[in-house]
Amino acid sequence: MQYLHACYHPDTPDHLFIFGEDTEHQSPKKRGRRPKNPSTTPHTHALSHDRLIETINRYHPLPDCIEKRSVILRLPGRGGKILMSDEPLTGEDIIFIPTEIPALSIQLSHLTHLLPATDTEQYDGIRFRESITFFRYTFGFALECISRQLFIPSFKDEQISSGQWEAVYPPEEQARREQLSRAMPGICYSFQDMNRNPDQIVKTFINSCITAVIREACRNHPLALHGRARSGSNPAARLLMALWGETGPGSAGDGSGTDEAYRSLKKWLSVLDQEGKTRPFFTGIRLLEPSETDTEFRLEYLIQASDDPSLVIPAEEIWKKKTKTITYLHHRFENPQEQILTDLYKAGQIFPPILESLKRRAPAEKILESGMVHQFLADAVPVLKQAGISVLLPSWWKDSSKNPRIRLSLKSGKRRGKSPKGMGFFTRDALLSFDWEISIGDVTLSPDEFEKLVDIKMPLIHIGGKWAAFNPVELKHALATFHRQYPEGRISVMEALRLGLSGGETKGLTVEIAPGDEKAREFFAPLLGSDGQGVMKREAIPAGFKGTLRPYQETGYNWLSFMTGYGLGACLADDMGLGKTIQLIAYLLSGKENGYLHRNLLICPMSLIGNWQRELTRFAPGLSIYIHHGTARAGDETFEEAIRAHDLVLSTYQVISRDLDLMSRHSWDLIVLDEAQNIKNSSTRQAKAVRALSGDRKIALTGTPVENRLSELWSIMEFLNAGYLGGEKAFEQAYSIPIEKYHDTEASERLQSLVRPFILRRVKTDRSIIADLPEKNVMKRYCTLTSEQATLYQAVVEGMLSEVKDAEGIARRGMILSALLRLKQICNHPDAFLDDGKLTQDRSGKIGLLFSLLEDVLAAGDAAILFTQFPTFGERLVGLIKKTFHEEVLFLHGKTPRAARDEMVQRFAHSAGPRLFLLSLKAGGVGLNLTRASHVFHIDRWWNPAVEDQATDRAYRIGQEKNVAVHLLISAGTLEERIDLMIEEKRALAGSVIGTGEDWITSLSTDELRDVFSLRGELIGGA
Amino acid sequence: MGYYYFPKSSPRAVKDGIKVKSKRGDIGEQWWSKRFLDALNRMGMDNRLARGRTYARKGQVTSLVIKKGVVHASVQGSRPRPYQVSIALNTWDDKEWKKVISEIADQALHAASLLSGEIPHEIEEIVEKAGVHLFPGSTKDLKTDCNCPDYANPCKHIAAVYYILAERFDADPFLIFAMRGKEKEEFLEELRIERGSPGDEPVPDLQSVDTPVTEPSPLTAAGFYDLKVSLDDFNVHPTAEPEVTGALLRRLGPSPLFVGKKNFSELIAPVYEFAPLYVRRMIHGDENPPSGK
Repeated sequence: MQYLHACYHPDTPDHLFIFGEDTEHQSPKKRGRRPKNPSTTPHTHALSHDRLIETINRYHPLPDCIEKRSVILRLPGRGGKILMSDEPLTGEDIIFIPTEIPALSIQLSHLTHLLPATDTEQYDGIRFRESITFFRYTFGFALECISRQLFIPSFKDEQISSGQWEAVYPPEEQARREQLSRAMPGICYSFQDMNRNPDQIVKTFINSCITAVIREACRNHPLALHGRARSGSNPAARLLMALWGETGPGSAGDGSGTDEAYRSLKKWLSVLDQEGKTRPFFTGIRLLEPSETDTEFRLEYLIQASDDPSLVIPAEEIWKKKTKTITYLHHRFENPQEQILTDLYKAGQIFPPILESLKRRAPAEKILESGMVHQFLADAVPVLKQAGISVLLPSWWKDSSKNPRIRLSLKSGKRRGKSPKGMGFFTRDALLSFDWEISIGDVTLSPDEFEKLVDIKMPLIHIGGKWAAFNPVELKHALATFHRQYPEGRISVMEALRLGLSGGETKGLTVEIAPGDEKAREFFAPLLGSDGQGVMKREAIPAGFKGTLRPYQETGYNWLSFMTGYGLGACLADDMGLGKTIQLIAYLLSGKENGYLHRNLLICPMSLIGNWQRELTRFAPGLSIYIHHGTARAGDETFEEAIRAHDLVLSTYQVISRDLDLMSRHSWDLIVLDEAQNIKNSSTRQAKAVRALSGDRKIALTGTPVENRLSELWSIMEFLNAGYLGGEKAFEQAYSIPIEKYHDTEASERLQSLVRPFILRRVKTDRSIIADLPEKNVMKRYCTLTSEQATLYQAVVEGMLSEVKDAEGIARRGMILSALLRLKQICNHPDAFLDDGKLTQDRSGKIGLLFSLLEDVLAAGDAAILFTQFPTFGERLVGLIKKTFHEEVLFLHGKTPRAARDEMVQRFAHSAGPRLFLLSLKAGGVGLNLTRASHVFHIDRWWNPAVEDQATDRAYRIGQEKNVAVHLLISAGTLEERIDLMIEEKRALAGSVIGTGEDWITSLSTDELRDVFSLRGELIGGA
Repeated sequence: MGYYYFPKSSPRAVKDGIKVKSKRGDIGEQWWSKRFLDALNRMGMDNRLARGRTYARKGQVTSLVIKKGVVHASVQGSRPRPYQVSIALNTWDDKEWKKVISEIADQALHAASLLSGEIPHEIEEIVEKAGVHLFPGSTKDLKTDCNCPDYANPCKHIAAVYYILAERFDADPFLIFAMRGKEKEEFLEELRIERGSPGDEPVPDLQSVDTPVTEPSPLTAAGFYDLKVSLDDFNVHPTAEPEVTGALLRRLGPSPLFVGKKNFSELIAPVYEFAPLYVRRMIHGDENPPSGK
């Protein structure tokens, strides 16, 4: 694992330093060369320049302009040794040690390309620590200042040629900046030589970012620089050149007259009170609406404490005090009268009626004439706020619930074509007719009433006893646009849903969807309401279902029925371990029993075929399954017949894309994608193939937090509900880039509300789910052998059977036990048996399954412990996991020394430490507390509940707040499955009693051995 | 033409002297400082006054202190020792001041304007209602002194101080009132008393001191590698629209500088349009916006 950090020094304001450490590799000790700076302690895990470049390039190509530097930072250490950043920093003996570290210096203007791409906390074995997160947020904040035009020219030092841009912070923005300053991790500024004043550092960083980005923007608009500025012949021209970041004849030094020019500019800018000083209080203006006895709006003047906005004192009270300083509720106000006067004078320049009110001895308010109110609200308020004046408005202003909305009453109209069997009128393509009215708060206006209001041209209306903001012109315009978009009062179901969820995209007009009839209510209420699943119709549990659904699983089952019943694609994204499989099986069976699901296709990764097969047989033994896989799979002539003859076709992503021609010729009642993240890359063959299939109902299952992985989300949604999120490019621009790269919360909220009804995701940590779940949730996970594994397996079984035929006693016992061991190794991986050093994923069904489970664990940000009995295999597995996931894996086995063992346990306990911990079952003795893990994997079986439970309990202990999912990996058709079943069913074999452990197996007769060990059932060979 | 009587001498150069900002033309930007110099000119000083201008521009005035209606200044002439100059205006007596304060307090706007660095134009009228004048009306109103051998009044040195004084008035309008005998703090306090209702008791002060974030913060193990406080609720919207377009430049008004005939403010205005646009394009794809040709 490689950790990356960032730090910033105001003395080199235009650069950000990035540096890193590696948990495994140590930099080689330099021989013969003394360290450059003998007073510092070397950081043995620091990444060298070249490795830094290599690491960063792995996730994003570095710009050319990076420079290799080194920084001297003070890092926490103990006993003269620098600690790794994932080691716990507790204890009294932590000291900060000066360390020289290689760092890459990156120009701020290039952060636009680099920093934002670090959104994914972890990427390919690289973990971006919070110092990088911090600069990303702050950089986004700087960009926001540019977008909101909150910047002005300023000077780095006291001369014209040092012109730069700087941010202007209205009170709210100042509070946000201070929030950043308070949050800044120490490492961001732990330079040895720096005066550590966080707010100053943050301000310098923001100003430097703003300057860098604006200059970059200027370079792209060369025409915007006034031609005569290029001569640089006077101070103003010289300042322009500096602001544009250009050099010209006059930029070398300050010429004559610049001192004076500098001072006059400073004075000009001082209007904005740019010192950034924290004021203990602000002057405030409060808009009061007419009381019952009068008819006019008033502005009331007051002061407001900046640390407690609820503390306000009316100016009227202030004028009564004669002292320079007053105190109120432990707040001290210096010169409040003078402050109010100065601020009101400033406010008067922005909104002249205020100036008018100052022509009194002790002005406390201003009565506004009717026309002025809207002007005040619309034009003056934002400028006043920017000028550092706090404006207090009645709650109805900006109360979006009081904004006028267009309310559509939807009624069944005509539909295009025929609805699929089992579905009603409301399917995604149906066209609805609508009536509209305008609603403001809880008052609704008919189109006629609305027309009348628009004609009065009043910006504020008094409606239903309350005031509301109203912009008739804008509203009329928005309405016209709306009608152009949906002529003849028709709208498609999907479009109506989208408008209802997003609140409409027409500027100035929020759309509210109201059901016009019972059918519409049934459809829209669960989708648009906040308690969607709560109001859904409950379906009966299918008669043939052999199992019980937990309450939340029943909800999921109802949800699947509801969604698909309207032709809406549904993504069930429950956390791994919550039982997506069982919910889907119940749904499938219900569809069959109710006569609408006949032609069904389920696509999953190769490694999960075995598991699906087992689970289907277990919970819905009545369903017939056809596995479309392998060289003998059905072709052109036989495929249709296979579909008809079976309730479900089970296939893999690889086969679907290979057989696309064949697959796309057939239509389906239902298409299910399991591990739908397999189509996360929409341009892959698999994803394209899956989208080319035609089905009336579509379901995607995934255990990854799909709502946060935007390209994946788009691809899955495009499969489920084609067109709903728009084209991929448009989606990227509207959502992925703003959200992933710039942390744009508004875009993120918009997207979430759009997709919310289509994704059902419950997590293990939900209170309601925890209550439903057992604390230890043991799940059997089935995989199949590859043909290589099967061949080896058969050979060992045959060999053993012929050997034991004539053997007796201890020798026989030994033979059986050794065969058992070898078979278990083969089930794990051929390499575990052959020892050929080629441990690859494709040679073992079990490793394939394990990896697809681990992918979900890691995607969900969880930690897991894994057990195996075979240390050598374990070691190779660690290597393969590292290679595949770029995740560090801790490995503890019988030979691990005590000290190393303790260190591993400590590192695993740290929230930033490695997330996977592999233990050899025997070595993981008692006393290990590994409660960070919420998943436990038993890769091979011991068949001794006592041993397995003891291992499991390392993760599940008192103090564990999470529920623990225990995954028992079982190779289908092998002795692993047989013995498991026998123990489970406690079935006595003739002449022996089944106990726990493995000893009883040695007492089986040869025939019994043949029965238990032989490979059975259908086999899925390696593709 | 008495001043030709003396041999022509040039003053000794001064390092870090007090210079007026204006290098050419008139000194004094605001109407009140212009009005002050104008008042002096009208007393017939215009020719003599002009002699001080070069001194004022060169920075011959080495120190200047204003206290209760009197200006004390040192001006470097041709002799090694700087001359000592003092200028005093007749101060208003308590009765006159009381009236002036009462008149000014009548409209909060006047104090508001003064506090914002501007003297309202009506001020002369208001002060006259109290029976006094703000600006000197005749030489009787002024008492000046300089220890140079020049008998003319004003001499170059006094004249230079007038100019510096005018610029001081530009920066702090309260100084004119200080020249009439009441310093800013006292002036403000009396305005405050006038404004308030009678019979109010001063409130005893209480201390409340919060640690501002601008204090240097020491390195601690907690929050060294991780954020010191969660930023989960910190929302950024990098392409947010301004609430009002062009608000800052509007608040700043036209700048004092020009390139050719174009005001500096006008010249930077386009940045407020294309920089946000650039950010938007940067974020919503098209990372390298085409450069205008």
